[in-house]
Amino acid sequence: MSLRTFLWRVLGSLTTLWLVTTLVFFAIRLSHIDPLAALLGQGLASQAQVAEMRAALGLDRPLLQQYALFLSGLARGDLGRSLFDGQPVVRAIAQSLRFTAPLALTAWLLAIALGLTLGSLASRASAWETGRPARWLARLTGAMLILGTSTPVAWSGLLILWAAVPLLTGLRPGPARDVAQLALPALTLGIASGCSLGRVAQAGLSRARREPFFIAARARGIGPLWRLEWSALRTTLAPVISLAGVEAAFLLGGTMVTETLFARPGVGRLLVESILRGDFPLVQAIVALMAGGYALFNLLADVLASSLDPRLREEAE
Amino acid sequence: MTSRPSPPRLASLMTQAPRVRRTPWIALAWLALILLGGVLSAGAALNVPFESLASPSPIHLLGTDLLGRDVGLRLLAGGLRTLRMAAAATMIAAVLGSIWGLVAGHAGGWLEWILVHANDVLLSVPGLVLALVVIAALGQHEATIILAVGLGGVGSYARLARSAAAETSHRSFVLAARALGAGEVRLLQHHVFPNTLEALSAYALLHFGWALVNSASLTFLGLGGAPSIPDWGQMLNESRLVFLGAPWLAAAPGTALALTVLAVQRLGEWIAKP
Repeated sequence: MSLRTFLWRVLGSLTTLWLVTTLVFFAIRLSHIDPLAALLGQGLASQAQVAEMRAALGLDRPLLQQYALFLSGLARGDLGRSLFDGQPVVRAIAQSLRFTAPLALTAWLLAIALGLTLGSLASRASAWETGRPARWLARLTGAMLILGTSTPVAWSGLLILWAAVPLLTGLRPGPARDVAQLALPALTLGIASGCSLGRVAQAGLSRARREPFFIAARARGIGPLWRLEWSALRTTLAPVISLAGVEAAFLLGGTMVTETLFARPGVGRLLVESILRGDFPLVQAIVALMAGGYALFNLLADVLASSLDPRLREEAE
Repeated sequence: MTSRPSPPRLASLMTQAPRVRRTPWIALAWLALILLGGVLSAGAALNVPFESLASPSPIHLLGTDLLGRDVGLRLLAGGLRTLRMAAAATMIAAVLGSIWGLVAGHAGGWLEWILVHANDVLLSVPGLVLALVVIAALGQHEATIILAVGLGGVGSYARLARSAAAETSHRSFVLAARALGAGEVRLLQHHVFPNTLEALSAYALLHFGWALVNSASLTFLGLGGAPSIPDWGQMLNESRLVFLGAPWLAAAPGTALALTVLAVQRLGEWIAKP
């Protein structure tokens, strides 16, 4: 990727980010949700108090003026305060990221390892020269991939939790329990992401196994097994890497279902709660974070893919 | 790799290509069972309380939940609701996404540029998050969930439709029709659209599986409206707190959801294969 293309992509990502935040800003404010109506309804505040709070939060100003204030705050790195507890949005998100980031990273690494292994094994089902045991293994892993992509996280997570109960109840608070508390949701997410990565890898690899270059490499007796696998994998890396980028953004944005299931106060959980409470500043900041992560990881994935596969470099220019 | 030297079996290479296309009877039977069960259970009294958390028995085949409601009946009735919501959401995504993508792919030029980049904006937010924003804006009803899941899927549908249309628009019969004086709308409607229909409808089933999981996820998060309405995602959510004592509560909707997605995927592969 040349510098020119790269800069164009960065500019495009920033524009996308701005459009997403603008859309979310207006979508939420044009809705009929009033975060302060709940206070009024429950008798926690009087009419006058609610009007005063509305003025203090700037919610009584014209929409375009609110938008201008939001943009100028954004430029200064000030995303406002949560309507729910008055905490700065940046701090609330940073706190929840402490729970989401380790989970996302573990799950992502697990997904890549699992996806490449299963995908590589499953792709041998269509290779014509493999022996019987390899073919059975390929069918088995292929079935596992299909099962993994069609099982909703809400159900697989419950199953993993159920299987781990004997383990968890025996553990005292300490490092071992911390590891288990991270490992279970990471396993849930890693399996789900890994299986979709694995299916993409499987499709590409089974195509590569029938290509002349692969058969030639085998015929030459090329090195150890991993070198042979790598020669096939290199040609199918582009879709695998770009999906891995999307999955990274998806995992970092927090995964609402898994975090709800395992009671982790991460970004996804924060988003769901903010939406239920009508906490505008938090909702728009989290959605912007997700869109930003998506743009960033997509860009990284494209740079990586084009540096690994020369054919893509020519296409892009 | 096996260590034995394998002889070049060219014959097996040649005969391997076209495999016989088998009708997915099991998948079809499962979907028929869910639909039929849902229709038959429509009149049943779903909220009659029996003994709370009874384990599976001949009277309550799948046990009862915390409030003493029969899980089997709720499973059947909930299945129809979950399928209906996913189907409606898929329709929204298919119609909007197809129009968007077909116009972009056929028009080319600046219109395509705008539509493609607008689509990139849509795609940069994960589908489930987009759905959450729509629910935040419009409130929590069944109709909003359908709209939310539908809009969350427009982006990927539009991307597929655009590449299908771009491919078809350059083919000779389209050029010939244009040379004969056909207008752009007519070209799109009578020449481009029918030739992309196959790809678009094959994708509909894949998308249906995605919509199924996403609408169940939203109801799992508690956004599905009143808890008295049976729904698989909601049943999974309710089972969370009593999962250890009553695993059948989660097993029923969880397995049913996974099997349905599996059946839909299988059906999609069967239809997509030429």
